[in-house]
Amino acid sequence: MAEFTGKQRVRAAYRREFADRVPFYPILGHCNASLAGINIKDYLTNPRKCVEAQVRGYEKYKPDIVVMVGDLLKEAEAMGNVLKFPEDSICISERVALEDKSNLGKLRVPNPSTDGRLPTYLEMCRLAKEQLKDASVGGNVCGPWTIAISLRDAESLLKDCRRDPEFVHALMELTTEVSHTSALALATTGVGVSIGEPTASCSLISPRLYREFIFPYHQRLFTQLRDAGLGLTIHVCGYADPILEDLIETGVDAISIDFPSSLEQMVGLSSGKVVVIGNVNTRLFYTGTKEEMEAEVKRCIDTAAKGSRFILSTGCEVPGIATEERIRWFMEAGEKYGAYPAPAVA
Amino acid sequence: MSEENKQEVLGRLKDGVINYNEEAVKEAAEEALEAGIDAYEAIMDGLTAGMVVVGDLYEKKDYFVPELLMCADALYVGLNVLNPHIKQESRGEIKGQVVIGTVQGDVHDVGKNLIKIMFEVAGFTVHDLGRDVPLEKFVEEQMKTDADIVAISAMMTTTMLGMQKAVEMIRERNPNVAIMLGGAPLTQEVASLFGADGYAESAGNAVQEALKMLKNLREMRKK
Repeated sequence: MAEFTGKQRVRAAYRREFADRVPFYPILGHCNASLAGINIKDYLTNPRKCVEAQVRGYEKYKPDIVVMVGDLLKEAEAMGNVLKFPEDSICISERVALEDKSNLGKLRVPNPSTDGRLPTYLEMCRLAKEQLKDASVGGNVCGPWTIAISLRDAESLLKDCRRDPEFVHALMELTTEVSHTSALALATTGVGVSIGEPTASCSLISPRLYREFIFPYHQRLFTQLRDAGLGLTIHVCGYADPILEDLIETGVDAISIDFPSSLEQMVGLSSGKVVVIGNVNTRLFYTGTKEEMEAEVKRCIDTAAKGSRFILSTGCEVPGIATEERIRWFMEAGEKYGAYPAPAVA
Repeated sequence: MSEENKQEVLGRLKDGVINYNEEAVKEAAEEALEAGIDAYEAIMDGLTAGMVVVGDLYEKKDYFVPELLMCADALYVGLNVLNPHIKQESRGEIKGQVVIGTVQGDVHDVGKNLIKIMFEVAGFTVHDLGRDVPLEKFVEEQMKTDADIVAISAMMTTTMLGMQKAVEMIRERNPNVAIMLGGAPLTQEVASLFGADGYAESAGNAVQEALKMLKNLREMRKK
């Protein structure tokens, strides 16, 4: 039997078909940087080094998908946030552009080819796409809510939702346009586009807040991008059960959920409408045993793989402190339990 | 004032916090003072009682973080009115002192701020160091305030590693302090591995955990 490529397995999952097994990948960014001996600062700022790290990770683990994991601040940085880049940790905002709300009028949609590190990231994706021929390569654009949080600060924005809803809507109008422009630019590199909306999670917001301040913008964004011919994935971190149905309603093609969310509920609600991605507990990558990892991978496959339209992945990025051995356990368990026909669900 | 009226005012303080109605809380707090209700009682049986219900609603997932923040705002409106009028003798014994902060390299402080509120509600004196706090600052602040508890938060696995170092540094200077860790990437296992005395799984159980640690700490000091 001819070996399937990662790309073919992923394509089959999107078409509700079956290749030889469930497509799977761990979300690896910082781990690959460590593997290649590259510090986080260089990984986030230097395209050649970032791609070197991702290629090293691909060669070592051979996942079906490679996601060009970056940070969540590149759009906000291009709009005026001042960042600090520690050598061995993810960048953080030293100053946010909207500490004073009245600055909103001065903010503009950044140009992806010239502003901040947006062109740097596009270059990373372009290079990775060139070098990783057999894998599906994905890139990230931050969603409107996550950009809004980065520009304003989480607690302030949550309070604005109550005290100054008009400001929040005006900000979301702007950041939706930022996501839109950035997604179109990312698509030109040839990688798959994922909208990172980690903070649109009920670990931070409420379902009511999602429906009032986020859903309309997601729906518009995804409609516009679909009309432009893009297939889209959204990723939400943490606990998202109360808004899973809303996320499906946005019209997105694939939804990637984190381990605190219920994969069972997600699959039930979707019933094939979206491709479901997830949701192996990332804590196992620094605390788990081999048995726990196997059981977790099996749980995901048993819950979600039967009708195709499923990609096995980690709930979120594999933490930089993960051990190579545990990543290997994840890959081995995927091979072991992922073969089609999927194991019967009791 | 009749007992019935008093209960009615306390009920409005409580409901005002639960319904995050700052106006209602302010009004009820002022009314309580005018009617001669003991300020400490109004805080404990009105505002704090409300915040306890809010904590339950959060655990049951009826409330989420935005509601918690709004309830906390209403709580503080009431505290600002009532606090200056607390009689010295009714203050009772201060439960304990806590130094709290989000670890170096990490600016995610929503969780830390919620825990801080819960500590204040439970009667602790809280010294908040904010976010992206250099490790040695935890040591210094603990020494300066002689706090019983140091509570450190992290949202990311990379910054979480700093906690282990912080625990070592605090212990080296003062072995008689209880250290509690919390935040998304933490587990009980990791907290124990890092040498902490307690692990805050959620805003709800942080205070319980702290009280437990405090009891152990005081028993240890007696010996």
